[in-house]
Amino acid sequence: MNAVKFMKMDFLKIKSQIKLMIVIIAFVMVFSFKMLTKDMLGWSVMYMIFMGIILASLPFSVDTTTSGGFVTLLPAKARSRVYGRFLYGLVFLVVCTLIGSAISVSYAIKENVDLKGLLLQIIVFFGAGVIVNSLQFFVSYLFEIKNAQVLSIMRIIPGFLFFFCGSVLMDKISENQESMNAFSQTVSKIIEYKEAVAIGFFVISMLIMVVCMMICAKREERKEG
Amino acid sequence: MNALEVNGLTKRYKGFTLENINFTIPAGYIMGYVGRNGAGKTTTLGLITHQIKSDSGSIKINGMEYKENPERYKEMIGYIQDICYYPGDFNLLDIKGIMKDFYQTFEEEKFMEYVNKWKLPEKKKIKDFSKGMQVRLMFAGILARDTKLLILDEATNGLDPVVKQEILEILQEYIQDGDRSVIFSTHILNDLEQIADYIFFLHEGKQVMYDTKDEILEKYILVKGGLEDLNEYMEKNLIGLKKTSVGFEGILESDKSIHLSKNCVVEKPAIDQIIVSYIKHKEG
Repeated sequence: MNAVKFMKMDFLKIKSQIKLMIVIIAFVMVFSFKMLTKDMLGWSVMYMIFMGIILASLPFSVDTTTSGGFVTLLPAKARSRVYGRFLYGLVFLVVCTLIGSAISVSYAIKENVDLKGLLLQIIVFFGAGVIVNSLQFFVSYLFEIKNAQVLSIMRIIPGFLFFFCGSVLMDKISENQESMNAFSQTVSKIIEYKEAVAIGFFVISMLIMVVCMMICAKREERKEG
Repeated sequence: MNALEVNGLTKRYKGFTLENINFTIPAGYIMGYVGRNGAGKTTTLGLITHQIKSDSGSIKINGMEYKENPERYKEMIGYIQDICYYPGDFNLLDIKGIMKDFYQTFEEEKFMEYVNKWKLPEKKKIKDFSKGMQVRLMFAGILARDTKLLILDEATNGLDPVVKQEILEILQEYIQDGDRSVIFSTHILNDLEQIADYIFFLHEGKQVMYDTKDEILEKYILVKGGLEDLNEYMEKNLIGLKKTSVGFEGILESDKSIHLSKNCVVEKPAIDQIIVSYIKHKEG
């Protein structure tokens, strides 16, 4: 229960960024309609998760030595703080994925495009987002970076890595007919077992998140004795 | 009942050790925790609040150790430091919401009473509050719930005399029911003279002095005299001996005063004179 309270507090910590988020969402909406193609409906999800990964780490930069004092004094176990932070990251990514998906679906309806394959793209991007985000939280807990400038750089790197890798993958697939066919064949095969693939990837990403969370929680608890 | 019991508390860092700290604060009393910057005051408070893990020793608040019930243990603590610990982008209503969520004993009405009394703005970001307002907000968050131990870590640093006086009055009010205590860490010794019942003096991580303020004031005398009155015994026993071209001044344990020359002037020292003399003595 305390984890949910900490999650709420983390959302409070990012409220000053809400204007920025609205601008990014508007940007993604406008450009998605230009960039989306019937084969790559997942672009908008990728954009949203890219933004999500960057903004999800914001509470770490609020937890400076002074305000960190307030948080650690709250009557709750250290593990609840860590669980709350990971829960916040997960919920944040779910919201970003839902917004991105809504944009893709709107496009598909407007352009009368078949939605087949979109769910798989959403799961892949969401799962990858969860993994990247869990790793960036893990690194933040592990190295306890308090320097605001280093934190700002740290915040951008995972999101850009996610975006860069995603873009390269998308470009490689769409750059020639051969790779497009190979991708289509792979996708077709995956689509054959899409439920199993989707569940498998989702479970793996969740497992990675839980492992990172447990290690960080143990570490934080040891610090407080 | 003791509000705080600290036994054999030790924490080792590279280049600094807080060593074997022992004291108790009975409920209803204020203890001044004094020492120079870097003496280990904040480390001790970090250990009491369990923001730092100790290497050895035990700490009990109202008879309870942290491991017995971490949540209740933290609920009993009120903590105020010189820099406001609330996230700067939060406003007062955000803080109220968090307090309500986490602290079982938090009373919203009481919190708002203090907010109104001190005219704290509800929607302004905390980072835009004045230092005095930030300290008052930290107090409102503590006075609106049931705490047993109030920890002040250099909380009066940089405050104007009016706010400082107000804080000292709040502290007196806080302990009035005899159920709650205060540990007041500071290097501004004048503040302690007014309110502290106990004094703990820490130097370079080691316990130097711990007693009631009255006992300490009884135990030491301030000796002044001409250089011709300064004998070998006094040179050896005077704490923080200060010589000028015409005379000397130093602190002496009262029971050693029988060896004083009759021409010496004996005065009652202030707490800050005793502590400063000790620091000078320790640092050679």
